Amino acid sequence: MLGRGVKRKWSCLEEELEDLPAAPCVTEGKPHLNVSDGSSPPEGPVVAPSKSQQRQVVLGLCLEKLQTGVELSLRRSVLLINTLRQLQEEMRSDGEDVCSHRESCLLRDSMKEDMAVTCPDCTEEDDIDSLLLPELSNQEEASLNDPKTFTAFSDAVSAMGYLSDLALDDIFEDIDTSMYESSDLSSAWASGVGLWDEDVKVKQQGALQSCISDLNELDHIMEILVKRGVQTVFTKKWT
Amino acid sequence: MAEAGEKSSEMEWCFSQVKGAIDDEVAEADLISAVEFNYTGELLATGDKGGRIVIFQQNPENKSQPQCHAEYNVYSTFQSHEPEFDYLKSLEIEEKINKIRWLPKKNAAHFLLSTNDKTIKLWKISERNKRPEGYNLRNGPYKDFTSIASLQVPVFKPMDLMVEASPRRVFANAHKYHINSISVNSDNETYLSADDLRINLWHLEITGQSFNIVDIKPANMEDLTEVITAAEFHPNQCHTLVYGSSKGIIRLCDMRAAALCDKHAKIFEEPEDRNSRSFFSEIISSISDVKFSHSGRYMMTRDYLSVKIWDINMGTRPIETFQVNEYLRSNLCSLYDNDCIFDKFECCWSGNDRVVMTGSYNNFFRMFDRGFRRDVTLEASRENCKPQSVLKPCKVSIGLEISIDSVDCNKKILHTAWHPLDNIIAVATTNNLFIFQDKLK
Repeated sequence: MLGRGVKRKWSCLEEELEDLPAAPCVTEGKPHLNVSDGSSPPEGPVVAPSKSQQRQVVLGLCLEKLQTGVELSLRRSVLLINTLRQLQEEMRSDGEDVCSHRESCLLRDSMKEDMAVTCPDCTEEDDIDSLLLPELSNQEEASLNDPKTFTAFSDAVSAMGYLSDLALDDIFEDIDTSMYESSDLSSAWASGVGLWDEDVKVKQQGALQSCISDLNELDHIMEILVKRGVQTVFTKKWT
Repeated sequence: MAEAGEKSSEMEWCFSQVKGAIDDEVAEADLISAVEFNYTGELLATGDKGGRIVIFQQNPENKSQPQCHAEYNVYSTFQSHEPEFDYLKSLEIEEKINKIRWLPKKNAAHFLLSTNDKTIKLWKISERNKRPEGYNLRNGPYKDFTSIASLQVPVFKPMDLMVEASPRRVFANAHKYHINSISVNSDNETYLSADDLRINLWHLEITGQSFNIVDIKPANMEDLTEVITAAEFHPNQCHTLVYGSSKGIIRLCDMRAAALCDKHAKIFEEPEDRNSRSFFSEIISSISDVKFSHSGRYMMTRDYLSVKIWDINMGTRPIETFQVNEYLRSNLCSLYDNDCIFDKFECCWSGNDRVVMTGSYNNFFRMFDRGFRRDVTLEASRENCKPQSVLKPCKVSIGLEISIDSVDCNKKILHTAWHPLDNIIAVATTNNLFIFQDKLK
């Protein structure tokens, strides 16, 4: 995750910007808006990305931000989630079936993490122990695009962020994680999301499918770990 | 009241002073996070990320000399907030000062409220320029009590001016979420503090309890779609407050209507322009600041790209809209990527409510003259630091596409303040405070 205010390289952005990249502004007299050191815009015609591609970019960014910066502020998280919901709505209305299980999970994760991070009295009010077990059995039948059912599975997912992971590294080892620094789960998730960036540049559908199958394996592993007593960690941490 | 706006057709701004470190290496703790003039403009307080408050005082000797009336010197420096650790949630509570608000002066001492994410403190700043001397034993002629022959009465003797800051009240444990605003009521007895989901009403004398007057937390946190981003009391009507939200909606509440003001008395929302709708429409509509005019008749709101002036009697649309940096609209994706789209810019009114000011990127700040329908872009930079040098307005061509590489997101002016009675402004860059004054005096 790039630091706040750090500009990405032009080559990363050029295919992801919504509008045509333009020449630097020419001001008269006072050259205050100078082109900073960095790559200059490419010469020649640039094809504007399609609406669908733009959506993918923004979706990827959204998920990435929800994963890595959820504790920054509630306002930021709420705005990100609203953007995500809007994207999912648009995709659904356009008939695109890219709302994967992963996205709904992450949506739930981030809301649950928000709850846990900023609102301990919520977790006090819910009876966590009673929620966890009954809902686990419904996990696989849960509607893919139903963000309303926030299951305890996602609670465990967020708790996972604090455990050192073993099996997940195997799944993600062939993914380029050079952009991400830490070695804990959150970077593993982030590198999974990093796929989104690659997708836009290559072909979307194929990479998405392999991503989804990887994630199904991930779900399975998660379930096993939950049954081993992760909920204990969760309840200790967030109550 | 100096009303330069009425006398001249255009204000020219001159550099007066710059405070803060000169080197480019910015210590994180030195990042300025709050700037506020007091009610007379004599004192200027700044808060930083390290939890410190520095108060500058206008040099009284030069007040009569028009060229130097904007000279401010350090008056007091103190540590307002310390970092805390919430053991229950394993979270650090930042000591960064989010807001400073002065209280109207009641006696010889000055009072201000300062807040970080969780705790508000009332500070008393008092001067001491006399001290008792001539104690019999402490600084008297006698070394021990056995040798006392006669007693003397200590007398007050003048001493070098000492400014002391002492915390008089600590208002803690009332906010589960991060405090974004505080506002002193015109009754001079109460004030409000607002976090993401709630607004509390306090009495300045009572720290043990506060009243919750607005609560937008949904029963189910999963249904949360809107948070409070800014709140302020009306300058004259002690029962009226407004709060802005992340959806670009401002709600006015009347505390006489009910104890809990969840139901707004008035709502201010501009209908969305369908043509310019994008993925980021909601994020850029998020209100980052709301300020009443000094008269109380108008209200100004700042969102990511514009400043809007509202008549508080009309909630259907603003009466004026000023585009601050419309050239950013074509770069929203990049600004979203580097998180700068979440920056919260503040805005302020001039003393006579004729001009409004707000900051932007590249260390630019913008002023919009409501009367003459003019706007100007100025830059706060160390290159324009010759005393009395007039700031040349920057020409930012609108209508041309601007590359994101031209926008320096690390040089942002989030906090600005305008002297309540004079044309003196304080502009905070990352770690420097610039003071400018109007040339024509």
